[in-house]
Amino acid sequence: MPITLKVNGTPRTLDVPADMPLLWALRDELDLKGTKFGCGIARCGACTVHVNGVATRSCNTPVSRVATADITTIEGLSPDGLHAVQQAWEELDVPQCGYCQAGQMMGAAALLAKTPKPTDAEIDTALNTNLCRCATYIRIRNAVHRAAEIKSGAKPAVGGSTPSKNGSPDNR
Amino acid sequence: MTTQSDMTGVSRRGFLRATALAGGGILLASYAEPLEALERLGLHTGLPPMADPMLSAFVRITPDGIVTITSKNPEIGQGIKTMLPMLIAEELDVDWANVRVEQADFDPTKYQAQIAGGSTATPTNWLPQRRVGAAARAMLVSAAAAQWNVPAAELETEKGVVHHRASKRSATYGSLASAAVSVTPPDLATVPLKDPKKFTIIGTRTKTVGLRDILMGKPMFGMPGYPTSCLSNAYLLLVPALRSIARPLL
Repeated sequence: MPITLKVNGTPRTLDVPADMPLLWALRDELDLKGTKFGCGIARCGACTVHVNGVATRSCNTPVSRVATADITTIEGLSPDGLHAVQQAWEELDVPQCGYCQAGQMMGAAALLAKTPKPTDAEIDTALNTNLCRCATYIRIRNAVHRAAEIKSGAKPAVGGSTPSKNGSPDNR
Repeated sequence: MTTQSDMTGVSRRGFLRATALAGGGILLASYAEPLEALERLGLHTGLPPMADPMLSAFVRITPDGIVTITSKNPEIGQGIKTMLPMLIAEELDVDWANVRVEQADFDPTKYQAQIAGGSTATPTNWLPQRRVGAAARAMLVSAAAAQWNVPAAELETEKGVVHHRASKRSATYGSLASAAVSVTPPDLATVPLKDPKKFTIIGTRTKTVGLRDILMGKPMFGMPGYPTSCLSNAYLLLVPALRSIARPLL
């Protein structure tokens, strides 16, 4: 069944079954591999994308349900990879293995769009079901706060990968 | 010279081969003896026995001063792709900002054991990889000494530059790389290593190599971790074997 999805601002027409999970369409049909398969039952958050700006698990969302929606994936979060969340994630060197981080960043970006200055509790609630097997949760929470600062105009301090003796971002 | 052995307790003989790069620069390949000793200790990799020495590191230095290091072990979030190159870069004495890291292909015929498991990569690579960096540095210093006709002992290095303070001369590694190809590589077992007090890269917080790719959602992961994946199986097989190696040392 031909279906048109608006992904990262571009309409893409696919010939796929109506009940195909959006995640499959993104990864296998559109070759957008940034969104990850984690559990397949919407419990881990690795597959999080934005549907009309709302953080949504793509693994259990049929394409037919999002045919008229604006879908944003990690590849479309910003044109240059410099969304406040990406800057903060870089500054604090958040990922360990990185597998869940696209989902974490999409969740964080959706939260910040609604709640520009989230509290720890609001961050924990919003990202509660975005699981990280490496347990980078403390850095994720710190990076959400930092992204909020960057969005409000604070200067980003992204400095590439130069070694620094300034201590761990865990200890902010 | 003191002889230090790595965690395996196996004295592995290693050697370096230097090759000129097209367009200038040097390619250093470091080889170690096959891991028969590990097999004897109970590490059954399931890989075919290997007659030729295994490749353990690749370092490329190009005229622009960029040092490209190939990291052979699989990166699964343990940070090995950042750590192994740090060992080489430290002893080579280069600016980490000028280091690029490439992931080696999975090729058991070339690298033999490319594994993750048992927390052994840091102790087993601690000396071998540092020696590769130190040997490369010694070759660049020798090339500068020959060019300036001064004793190598009078030369110092810092952040990818060789200095001769007495005559106020200096040369970048990039400019010396092609000349270093014809220097006989030093013996890896005896090449002098840095005093840890002088470390500028090891022991510092270094951002994850590949961080940008993760943040951009680049396709850098293999299959999602199905329980039957090759990696899981390799890990399950290797952990008891690696423990049996480590046990006498614990």
